Parts: sequence; structure tokens; C-alpha cells
Amino acid sequence: MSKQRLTAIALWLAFLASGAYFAVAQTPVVTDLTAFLPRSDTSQTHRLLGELQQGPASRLVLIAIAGDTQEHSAALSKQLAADLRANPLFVRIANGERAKNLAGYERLLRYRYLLSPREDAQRFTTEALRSTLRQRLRELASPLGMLDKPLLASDPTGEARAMVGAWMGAGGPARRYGVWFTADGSRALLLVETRAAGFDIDVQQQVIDDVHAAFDAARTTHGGASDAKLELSGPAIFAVKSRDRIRGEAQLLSIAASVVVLIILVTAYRSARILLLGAAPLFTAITAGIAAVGAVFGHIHGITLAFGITLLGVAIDYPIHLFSHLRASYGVLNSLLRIWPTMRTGVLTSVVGYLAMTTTDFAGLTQLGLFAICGLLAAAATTRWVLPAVLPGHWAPHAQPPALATRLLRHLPAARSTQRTALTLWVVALAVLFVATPPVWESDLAALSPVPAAERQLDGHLRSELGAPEVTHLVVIRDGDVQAVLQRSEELSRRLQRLVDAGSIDGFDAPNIYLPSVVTQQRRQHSLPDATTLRRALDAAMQDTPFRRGSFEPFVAAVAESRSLAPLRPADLAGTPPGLRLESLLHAQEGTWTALVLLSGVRDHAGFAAWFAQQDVAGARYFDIKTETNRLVVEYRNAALARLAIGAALIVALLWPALRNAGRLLRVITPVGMAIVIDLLALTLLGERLSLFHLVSLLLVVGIGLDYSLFFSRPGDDRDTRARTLHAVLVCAGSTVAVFGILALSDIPVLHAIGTTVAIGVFATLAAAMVLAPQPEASARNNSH
Amino acid sequence: MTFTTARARGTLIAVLLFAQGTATAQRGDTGWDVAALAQILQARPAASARFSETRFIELLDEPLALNGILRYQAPDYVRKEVLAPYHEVFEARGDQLFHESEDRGRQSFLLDEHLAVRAFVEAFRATLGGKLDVLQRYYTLKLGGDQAGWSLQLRPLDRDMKKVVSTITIHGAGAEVARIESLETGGDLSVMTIQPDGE
Repeated sequence: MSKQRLTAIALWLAFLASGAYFAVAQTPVVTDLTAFLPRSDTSQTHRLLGELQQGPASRLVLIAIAGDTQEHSAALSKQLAADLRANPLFVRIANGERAKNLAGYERLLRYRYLLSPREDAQRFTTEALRSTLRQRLRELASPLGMLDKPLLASDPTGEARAMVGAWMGAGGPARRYGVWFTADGSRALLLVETRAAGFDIDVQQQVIDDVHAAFDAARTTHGGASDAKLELSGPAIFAVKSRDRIRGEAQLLSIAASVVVLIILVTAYRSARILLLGAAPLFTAITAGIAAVGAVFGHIHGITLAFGITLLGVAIDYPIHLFSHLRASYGVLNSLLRIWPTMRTGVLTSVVGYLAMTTTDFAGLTQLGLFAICGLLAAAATTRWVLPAVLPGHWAPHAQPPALATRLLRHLPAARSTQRTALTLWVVALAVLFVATPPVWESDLAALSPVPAAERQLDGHLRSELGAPEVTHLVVIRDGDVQAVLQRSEELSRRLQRLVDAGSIDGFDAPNIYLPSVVTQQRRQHSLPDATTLRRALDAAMQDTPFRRGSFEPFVAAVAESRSLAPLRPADLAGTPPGLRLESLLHAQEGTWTALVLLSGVRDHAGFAAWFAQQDVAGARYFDIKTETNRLVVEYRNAALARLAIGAALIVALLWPALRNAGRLLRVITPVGMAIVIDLLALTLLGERLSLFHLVSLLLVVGIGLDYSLFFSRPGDDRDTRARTLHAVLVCAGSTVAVFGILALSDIPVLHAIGTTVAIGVFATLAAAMVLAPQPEASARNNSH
Repeated sequence: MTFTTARARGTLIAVLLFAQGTATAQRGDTGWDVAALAQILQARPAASARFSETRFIELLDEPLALNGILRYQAPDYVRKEVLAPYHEVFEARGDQLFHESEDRGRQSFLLDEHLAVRAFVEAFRATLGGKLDVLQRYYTLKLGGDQAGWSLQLRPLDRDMKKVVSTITIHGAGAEVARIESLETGGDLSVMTIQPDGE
């Protein structure tokens, strides 16, 4: 081996080793979705979306126990809840058990006259007390009355019940055997809140494991014979499942794809050496891509990595071009140098296309572009400098051009009339596409979710049974002063209650339900009578009743004490059941307090938005999260679309100096343009709704397509070279269509979108490039452009 | 009502102790156990009776007196209708509890919403139906006396129920229930005497 060759190999190995070290050791793979949110955007909407993704709603896990008798399921629910309450991963476990929940309220019972929503001072007059006492007497006589009897002496007006009732909400699931069940009684229900954010996937995986372990333990203590099944749902569960599903499916599909590519390569070249060397540029590309993204961003997003590797699928085409064009008589280096200018143009056009992608505000797309650019350059460089250094000087897999290609070439290029027909058909397709069946855009983020529809349906079902907030409509109130936030929340609640009464919304959840503002608590204190007044009214009310004199002294004392209690503030509720609710609806960040008022059952979105606009509550904004998210999806897509157009313009600009021939430029661009239009038409006819992922896949189709038509349109190639080119392109296209065709079989919308788009697009490019290929020259000339 | 709560309670506790005493004395008779009682009770598919109930409550100067009609129909229907001093109906069928009163109208609940409610209903319904397994889910059972005069004492198992009720004792002869006494945890007491009608 010459010194030059050894230097090339040594440099490559050194690059590969350091790149691999950097990629593996220095570049963490992150999976939190905010990385795919706009990079420099500081608007309130996007910040809020980010917060909500980390926020309370994302931390809810809905649990159902199904498949056993109600009695067993209830026992399992109680045991599971007890077990999880001892687990520090959880901050709240609710399964409907009343006694245990009330235990947490005891601390707050003293404050019942400050926290109960009742404010009517009339309830302490003689008249009102007399009627209240009569009611209590009736209850005492009933067998159910003894349940409330322990509080009767200190709370005859039922203030504690009113307080807890407001916190529990009007509805709540039905209870059987003391715990929550679905209305049809088929499942016991639990609602748990995790300490970690919903998209902290590693911790959420631990949460899932712990819930399953606790459930299995509970089942074992109940004899182990139970048929009960555990069903989990919620954003965190979806995030974990999505990751597992994508990972599992990607692994399975990539194994299948590798096997198919292997078979194609073995059939095409019948050489073990090629299998080994063909993979070298691809591996170098992946290493370079990860290392480059890691160096610029400090981490690589999981989506970039998965998607980027499929984008690099074109990297395997470079060695294939080389292998097919190898001729023993020319030697490896000369064979390479003859096709290198064409290959170089192909690489550079692809790189320019991805360059446009890096200029977006979306960190995800920028990473993707950088990954593809560095990967493609590394793959091309490996093919150009490393493969000739490794291959024996005059080695060639085929002495003669492969027979299949030679035979096929006899029918190529198509007659002028066929070319004309093809162009006419294309124009018709173009017209049909943009007039009759314009592409349909997908702007519903849910449609891109890898979670199967059945599981999303179960989630919706459990959510409505549990009355768990689905954060789609909410009002956000911000202010530096927590009391100001609470007072505005109170004002808004009063007005929202009118909408509830009128039936235009189902309900709402607001922080002031759990903790009224200090002003409101003080107003309630001032409305309480002093001990003398209350005792006088009470004594009068007790006349003609069988109640023993002095029975209600604890009541008089409690009211008197309430008048001088210090009003409760957020920190005082810590650790109590309403305190946990409050934390999820009211929090401080960098000196700003944020209150969330969650709305449920908003049917007329526009009507509500119009109503809200008239309310004029300072610092309050209404968000329709679904609309906001979908708007973000559209923004994201438009950014990709604009960059696609810029990329296309850059590609043409780059091709002109490389080709210096208007006719050839047209011959190179036309097949690619045809393929894109046919691809879009086919996708639309297949009922696909186009998303960001289709668009980025089209960029890959453009890159691959330019490569094919650049090779096909080389002027001055002889029949032998033309046959070798055809062979290379057939192998490239065959493996690409096979790999992406397999990807198209996936149930995961994103993988399906990429697979379908690329497989159809590459097939269409191949067909168009073959049909529109120019006549070959009679003999070889050294014109390789 | 002229006697005071305290006096009434004293009298009743004496009665209870006496009943316990007789029960213990007659223990050991062959073949008389909870299963035998259950068998006798199971043999009656329906029952109807008048009741009068006196509730002795700490907070009240005078006991509360109620009367009305009880009905039972196998397998799972019981009804308690208060006729005086006001009108009120409790009705349980299967897993449902219905409550009807003058001021609130008719309301229905799931028995299992609250374990204590289920336990109260079953003390009555499962006893009349002779359903031992159901009773034992909520109470420990102790039987005294013999077939001609028995007393079945129920002690709640559930922690929350224990906070409310200390014992429920049911006295009867053969398949007839004659008296139900509930001693509440706070010391309040309720005695219901039952006279079968139409027989």
C-alpha cells in the first residue's frame, strides 16, 4: 500500500474513532418535546404551551382496574392506593376513599368559616337557626343521621360539609365499596399525580413500573387468583409508550430493511467485500452527523437521530455508484474519478437543500439539517478517499456491465413520442393535482400521535368518568401579587358561574375554590356574629326543640374563634388535599404568580372567546390549547415549506455553474419535478394528509432524484458506462424503495408518512429519469459532467 | 315521654345485660348456632311488621320516638317507612338505596358509596334473609339463647363504622325478629321493637 493510501485510512479511522467517542460519550440524546418548539420564540403562547407540557395536567396518570368483581377491584384499588401513597414519586393518590381523604381535612376544619363558600350572614339569625335545628333533628332520627353526628355540636349549620363539598366538586365518579368506579361499574378508578413532569420519560417509566409492581403485590395479597387487569392512561403514559413503540417498530423495521438491502447487494454484486465496504460510508455519515449536532447543540434530539438516519439512506448510494462503475481496465481510482464530478454535484445539491432547513427557528429542523449535511459530506468523502485506498487497485465486481442492465438499456431511452407522451401525462397530472385534488394539509397534532386511536379513546373515556381536567380550554391570570391573582380568579369565577348556570359551559376549576383571597376570608370573618349575639340567637332558636341547653357551646366557640384567625395563605395549605389541587392551579415563577382556570365543556369556542374578550379581567388571557397547538403545527410546516422553496432555488442556482448547459439543466430538473408532482398526487389519492414529515421526506426525494438524473443525463457516456450507470441506479433505487416501502408499513403515522413519501417519490424519479434519459454516444469520451 | 334519657339508658342496659346473661346460660344446647339460625330465617321469603323506635341522644333532653312499617321480601328488598311524627321512607333493593322525604322528595344512592351505609342496611336485610356470609363481611357475630329466644350480636369490622356504632343486637324467637338495639360509639342508643302484623 502506498503512503498516501495509508494516510487516508489512518485519517479516516482517527476521525471515526474520535467522532464515535464524541457521539457516544459527549452527545446525550434528549427526548423532551420542547426542543421541537421554536428556538427564539418568547411569545406568551409558546411559553405557556411549554409550561403546560411540564405542568400539572401532564403529571396526571389515570388508572383503571378491570376484569374482576367489583368487590375485588375495590379491595385492589384500596391496597394500590395505600402502597402508592408511601412512594415518593407520587404527590397525590385519589381513589374515592372518603375517610382517608377527610383525615387530611382535619387541619383545615378550624378554618371552615373562612373557607366555606357560604357568606350569607342571615344563616346565624334566630329564624334561620331554628329551621336548621329542625332539619338536624330530622336527620338525627334517621339511621343515616348518625354518620354526621360527631360534628353536630360544633357545626350545626354544616359548614364543614359545604367546604369539603366545594373542593370535591359537584360530580365525581360514583362510589362502590367505598371507591370510585366507572358509571357502568366495570372498572375501579384511581387518579394519581406524579412529582416529575409528564415528559420526563425515564422517571415516568419508573412510575409505570412502580404502579405495576404495587398492583401485582396487591393481587398477590388477595390470593393471586384475581383476573384483574391494570389500565393506565395519561400524557406521561403516552409519552413512554410512544417512545417504546417507535423504538420497537424502528428496530424491527430497520432489521427487515437491512436484510432486504443485504439481499439486493448480494444479488447485484455477489461479493462479500462490497457488503462490508458499502456500509463504511453510512456508518461514517451517522457518526459525523451525531458528532456535529452534539458539537453545535450539546445534545441531539431523539427525533433528529431517528429521522436523520433514514435521511442518510442516500449515503449508501455513493458506494453503489462506485461499485457499479468499477472497471478492471481503468483501475479503482480512475473509475472513481470518471464519476466523481457527477457524484459531487449530487452531494452538493443535497447539501444545499438541507442548508435551507438549518435556517429555520425550529431547533428540531435545524438539527435535522445539520445532521444530514455533515452526514452526506462524510459519506461522500469516505467514498471518494477511503474506499479507493482500501480496495485493491484493479478490482471490479463486474468484468462486463451486468446483463440485466444491458438488456434493459436496449429499450432506453424511450422514443421521442414516448417522452412526449410522458411529459403530456405529467402536465395532466399537474393540472389534476392542483385543480381537482389539491393536497390536504394535516393540522391536527393528534393525528401525528403514535398512540393508537383505541388508547386515545380509552383515555378520553377514563378522563370523562374521573372528571379529570383535559387542558384544552383555560384562562391564565398573571400578576406579581398572589392576592391580586386570587381576587381576579374570584371575580372571573363569579362570572363563569353564570355561564355554568346558563348551561353554556359545563364547569370550571379555579385556585380560589381551594383558597379564597385574604380579602374574601376577612369579609367572611367580619360577617360572623360575636359570641353573645350568636348565643342569644341560638337560645331563642332552641326553644320548643328537644335539644339540650348548652349542647351547641362548641359551635359558639368555633364561630368566635374564627373571627380572630389569621387568614390562610397558599403555604398554609401545603400537604392537605386542597393544597395539592391549589399547587397545580397556582404557582410562582421568577416573581410572577400564575393562576390557571380550567374550563370544561366549552361547546361554542368562538362564542366563549367573544364573551371572554368583554370581561376585561386584568392580566387574564384565554387559551384554546388545541387551536394554539395546531397553529404552531401550521407555522412549523410553513417554515419547512418556505425552506423547501429556498432549497429548490439554491439547487438550481448551484446546478447552473456545474452543468453550464440549459438543455441538460432542464433534463436534470424535469424528472425530479415530475416525481415530486406524481408523489404528491399519489399521496393525495391515497388519502394521506400532508404533514411536516411528508415535506422533509420530499427533500430527500429531491436529493436522491437529482442524483439519478445527474447520472442518467451525463452526455458522452458510451453504452458500457450507461449500462453500469443504469445498474447502479437500479440497485440504489431498489434498496431505497425497499427500505422505505417497509417503513411505509408502519402503523406509526410519522414513520408511515416518511416511508410512503420516499418510496413513491424514488420510484417515480427512477421511472421519469429512465424515460427522459438522452441517447448514449457511440463510443466512450472522457466527459464526465 | 316523661322519663329522662339517662334513666332510660340505665333501664335498657340492664335489659341488655339480662338478655346476654340468659343467652350465655343457655349456651351449649346441641345444634343451636349461627348456621341453624340462618336456616330458620332463610325459610321465610317475606315479612311485614309494625315498629316503634326510641332513640336516646345525648344532645336531646327527650328521646325521639318514631313508628312505622317494616317490610322484607327475599332476596334483597327491605323497606322502612316512618309514619309518625313525620313521613319518611328508606328502601333498599339490590345495590340501590332510595330515600323519600317530604322536603327532599325521592333520591337514590348506591349502597356502596359509603361502607357504613351498606353495613347498616345489611345488618337488617342480611339478618332477615339469613345471609351469614354477607353479615360476616361487615361484622363479627355472636349468637346467644336458643331457637325459642335468641339474640345475635353484631360488632362492626370496618374502622370507620366502628367510629359510629359499637354494637347492634337483634333479638328474636324462631323466624320472628322482636327487637333491634343499636348502641352507638358516643353512648347514644336506639331501640326498635317489632310487632308482626297480619298473623
